[in-house]
Amino acid sequence: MASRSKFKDPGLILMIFLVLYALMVFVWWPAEVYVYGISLVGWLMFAGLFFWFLLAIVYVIWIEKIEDRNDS
Amino acid sequence: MQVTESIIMFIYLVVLTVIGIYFYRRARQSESDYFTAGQSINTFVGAFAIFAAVASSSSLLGAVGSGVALGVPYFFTYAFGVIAIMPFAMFLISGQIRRSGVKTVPEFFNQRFGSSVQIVAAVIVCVGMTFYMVPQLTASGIIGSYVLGIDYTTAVIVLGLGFTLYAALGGMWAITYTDLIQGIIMIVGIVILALAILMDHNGIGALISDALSTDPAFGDITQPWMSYFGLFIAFLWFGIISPSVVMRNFASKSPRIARRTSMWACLIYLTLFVSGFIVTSAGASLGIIDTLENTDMIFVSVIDHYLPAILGGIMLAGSAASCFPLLGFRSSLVFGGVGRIHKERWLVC
Repeated sequence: MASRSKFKDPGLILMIFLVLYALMVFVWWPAEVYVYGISLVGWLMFAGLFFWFLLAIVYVIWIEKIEDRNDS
Repeated sequence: MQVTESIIMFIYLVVLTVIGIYFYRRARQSESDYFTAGQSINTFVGAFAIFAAVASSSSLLGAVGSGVALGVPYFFTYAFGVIAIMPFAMFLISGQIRRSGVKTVPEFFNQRFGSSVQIVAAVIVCVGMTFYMVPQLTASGIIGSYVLGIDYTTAVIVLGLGFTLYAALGGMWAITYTDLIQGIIMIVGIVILALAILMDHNGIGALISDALSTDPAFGDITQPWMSYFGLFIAFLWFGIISPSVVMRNFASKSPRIARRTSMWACLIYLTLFVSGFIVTSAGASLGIIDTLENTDMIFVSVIDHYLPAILGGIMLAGSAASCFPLLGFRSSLVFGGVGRIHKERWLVC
């Protein structure tokens, strides 16, 4: 792990995805678009909850694969 | 006074005390046992513990109350920030900080920057956590006074003394296992409440329609953009600076367990907020938010309205209980921080 580039670190890469999604929500900010009576901003954030969990799963699997490769 | 709820809360307090006494000896075997439960917490226990450490009364009462009062996008912003804590902390600190081998946040700063920064960190933890206890004490006081029928101030003092005592006795061992119980009560309770609401309204579509017909602004962005952005950023950073999250990584068996713990805690938290969305919609459909002295009480009103007395009693007691382990944890952190300032001596002993 120590010899790996910081730019290949799963945490850093997935961090970029997290920031990009958050930026999309807060920069776009479609407050006046409504879906089923609720602002699209709200729905984007709701979808974001599942995206955060997906990122967590990807990180755990990815870093464990790297660790297993280093151990073998 | 709510008799059923009082009995349930009393039983819960007895269980907490027994857990505190049970872990009293083990917590005093070593510094590691007191602060990090011997670094031996597994994924299942750890996931519920970290969830319960972050999911406080503010998650249950504050988010729902804010969502009903300020519109459901505000509730979603709350969830958007809070659930991001888990992956955010995992990406930046979980594995790294666990590998450092330290037992407390100030100790980590000592390892990296020396004893001066360690003392500053300990002072910040003490001061910050003292203020952070205020909303938790408020919530326990609100529910405690409602359930026990006693004065709000008395409820805050009595309950505050109770959980400070058991946390000081049992250290991280007691806090982790009471967190486990509280986390299970909280998640099972809110899922049952959400299912009862959905059955009552014949599904999520009808529920949202009912909420919108009662409050047409329920789906609106009602606050300035900065309010939502600030809330999101505040929670995101809370995840990596809060000792309540960081300490859980210290308590895990290994870096791998620490990461898996955060991942499963993320799922538990996701379940809490999906259910919370249903509770918020039900709260809006009741149309009573303007009549409440404190908007956080809408959560109690929803429980009263949708659940039978016994189930509602358990849920209310669980809600009040959700403040206890968290407060106990904050208390122990404050004690722990003070202890470390005083040349590694334990003021709590």
